[in-house]
Amino acid sequence: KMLGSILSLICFDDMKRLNVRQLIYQVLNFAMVVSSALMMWKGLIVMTGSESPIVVVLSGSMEPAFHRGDLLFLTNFQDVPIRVGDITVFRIEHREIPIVHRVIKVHETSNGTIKFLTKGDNNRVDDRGLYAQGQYWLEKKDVLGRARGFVPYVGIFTILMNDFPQLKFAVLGLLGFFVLLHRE
Amino acid sequence: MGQFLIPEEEWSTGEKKKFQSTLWDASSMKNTLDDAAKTIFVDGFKYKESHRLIDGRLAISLLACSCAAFALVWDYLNPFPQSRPVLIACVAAYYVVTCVLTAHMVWWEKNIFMRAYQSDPAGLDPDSVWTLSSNLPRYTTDYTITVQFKDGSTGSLNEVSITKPMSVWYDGTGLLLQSQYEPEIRKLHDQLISKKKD
Repeated sequence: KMLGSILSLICFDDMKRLNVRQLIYQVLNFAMVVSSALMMWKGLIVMTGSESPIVVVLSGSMEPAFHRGDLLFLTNFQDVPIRVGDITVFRIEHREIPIVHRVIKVHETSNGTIKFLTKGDNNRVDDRGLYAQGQYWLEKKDVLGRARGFVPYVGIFTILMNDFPQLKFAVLGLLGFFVLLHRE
Repeated sequence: MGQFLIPEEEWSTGEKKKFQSTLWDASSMKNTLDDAAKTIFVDGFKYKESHRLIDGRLAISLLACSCAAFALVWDYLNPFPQSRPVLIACVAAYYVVTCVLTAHMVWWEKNIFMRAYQSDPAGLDPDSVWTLSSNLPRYTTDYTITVQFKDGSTGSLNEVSITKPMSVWYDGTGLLLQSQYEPEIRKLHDQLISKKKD
């Protein structure tokens, strides 16, 4: 009975009266919300040149600069060279999760090819232990981008949603439910 | 039963045409008033409804969503650096289409929620057009409904409107009162019919 009163609160009354065209409009409205979000994300990807322009710091290996849960903004402009001290986000082959560490050594050839070594500020050793079997250096192709700005703590929400997939499902489900079922 | 255009069973107690709204939700109550006025004109006076406006909106929205869907699929098939030009094109296209959609809603549709055609009984003149639009400003309960009549034979445009706080037409549970609302709408309709005869 309580569910019934909650449901009637969510404007189900309006929904009973919809004809075909209005139903299609509700679905399209929902699709437009999703599309807008998608287009903003793709736009950001194109503007920054990075596949994943916003990442969340997952470990404490870069303290005191970045803590677990910080949100990082990346750019990946190919013409800006990678230098020692840059904080790069890179991916090791066959590993899904990107790593956020600082560049400590760079070897550069005359035509611009680069090999570099990274280390987390809070780690005792460099990252060679993390690289793939037989790999001792990173190259430009492994880089997702360089950190250009950050927002503290906001990423904890993303970490929570990843650790508890039911939470992600529930939040997205509820949002979708409301957009789909509310007439403007 | 004889005094209303829409049978009472359909208005209050029938399954499909119940004009029940959610009590404290202003947009729900506005939508209910709009729907009821539409029913009076289409089902009561038996005018033929035109779907041009809403079809236009649906078509533009569909175009925008397909731009987004295309970008998604293309990017999935050709990973990022290669898909850059296509992505730029899709984002730009999406932006343009959403601007067109906003323009359509602001200048073309305005507040119109129904357009219907009344054909000439003699079959000689082109159809007359009835247009209903409504307005409910934020933070007030004053609902304005405007009925516009364009005469098929003379081409003249006339409109009348009425503004009242919505509470006048609703009972305590959020059900629209046919005895209060339908006569008002019919009065607006009849005013325009008599103007036409002048």
